[in-house]
Amino acid sequence: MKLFQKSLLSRVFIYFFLFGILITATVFYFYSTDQKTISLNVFLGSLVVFLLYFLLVYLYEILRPFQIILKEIKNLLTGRKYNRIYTKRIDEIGTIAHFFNEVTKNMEKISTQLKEGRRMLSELEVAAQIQKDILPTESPQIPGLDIIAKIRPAVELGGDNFDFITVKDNTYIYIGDVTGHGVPAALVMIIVHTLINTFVEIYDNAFNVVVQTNRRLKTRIKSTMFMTMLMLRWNHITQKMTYVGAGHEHLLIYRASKGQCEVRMTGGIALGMVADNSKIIKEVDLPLEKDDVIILYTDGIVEARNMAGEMFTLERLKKAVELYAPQYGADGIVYHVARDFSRYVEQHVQEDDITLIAIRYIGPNAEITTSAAQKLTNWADDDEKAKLFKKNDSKTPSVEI
Amino acid sequence: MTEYKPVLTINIQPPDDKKVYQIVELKGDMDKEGLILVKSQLEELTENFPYKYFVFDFSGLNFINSESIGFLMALHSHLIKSKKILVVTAAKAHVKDVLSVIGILSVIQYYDSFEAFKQQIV
Repeated sequence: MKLFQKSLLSRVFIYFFLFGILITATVFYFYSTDQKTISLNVFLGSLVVFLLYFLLVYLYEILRPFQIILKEIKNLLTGRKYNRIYTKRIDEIGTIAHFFNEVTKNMEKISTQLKEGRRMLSELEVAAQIQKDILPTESPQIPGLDIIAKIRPAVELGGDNFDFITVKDNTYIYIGDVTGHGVPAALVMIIVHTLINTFVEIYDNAFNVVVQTNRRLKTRIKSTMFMTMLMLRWNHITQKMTYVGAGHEHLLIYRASKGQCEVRMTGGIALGMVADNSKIIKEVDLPLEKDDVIILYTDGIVEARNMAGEMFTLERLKKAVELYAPQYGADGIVYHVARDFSRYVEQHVQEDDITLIAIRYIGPNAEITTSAAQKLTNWADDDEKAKLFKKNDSKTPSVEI
Repeated sequence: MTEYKPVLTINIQPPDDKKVYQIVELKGDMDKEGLILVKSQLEELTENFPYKYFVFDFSGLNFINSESIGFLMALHSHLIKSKKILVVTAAKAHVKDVLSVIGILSVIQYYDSFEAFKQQIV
């Protein structure tokens, strides 16, 4: 019964019923007026009326609604403006009209979501560009040091960061790694970057810069987030290096005289973990001799896995540095370590941002000339680039005193 | 060669007889994927944690990343609000090294073995 009510047949039935009443009334009229026969004209006239009745019913109840629906469907398919179809009908025509309304409503929703997605993607691109602009695009020229840094974020926005800031006689070199990556990590990275750039102008030591940065950061980030950091301070006058660790990875120092790497725990506690880190961190002296190399890196390198699930590890990084440090300058070391790393992890998806910095002490007030391409901080895997790094090519001949 | 797939399993033990602590064993790699597998269970468990000590047994844990350490810090911060204590026990050398490097061991309680923890609370 319900099916019948919801069907076009119910309407046809009503019209047939009305038609039946009309016929019955006509027949009743003829009988009541004792007319046994009717003229041909009356018969034909009645036939025309009946035909018109059915024609009108067909036009208004079936053909016209279908035409309206088809017109809107055509508009939709050809990309023209379409309208919602309002109807109270629940039969087949009503079902098609409601289906059309639902489809168009969902399409509009999807279209809005797509537009929103495009807007967010565009904003993400802007944010990624801002972050790129914050990170140094080139390694700096610092008297006494040969520095090369490379970074490769895992996604558009990363949590790894580094900077070289020279204020008066000090150059601050820091590497940091915010938990995770993506937008939250990038925002924390930008906060830290701003705080550090502010505090290096106020304080003349790395200890106070890190303590104050932590103090301000802690109140601004949620408890799941923190940033590990290692900050070096190079004094141009005394030619002395010091460092402050804030829960960052080990410090690798290639000792040229021994041909081996020294592995130091950087100590401290990650920024944002406790409100006051002044009792936990300290600024430590890092004596350097000519051709010693400091390697700064983020956990994205040592914890990267190859296709078999094995990690690159600190041990592999150390061995690679010990292999390349006697042969190349900072640019060559970074390039070859990066190449070994890329070959090791092969096609395994990069899960974390990776940053690698090599700092070679080239002697008092010496300066090294590095080509613009080598100074760029974006990470390259191109094997062809190896040709740029010939044995010892950037070590002795390019040093200018 | 099939690509490496991380696995992290969680075993939530019933509380001790005196209802002072509850042990949660983690086995495998606590990396990004591993953390996703156990995160909601751990959050649920710590939401209204009724005992004094929430003890992680890390003896079966092979790896922990910084994101997971951040999560541990969040659990620690949540528990400390209701005067509950997060404890980590028996971490392997590599895991302990990572915890130590980041500095979390100066914030949360750590014991080299479960027995050492038990002796401490006695």
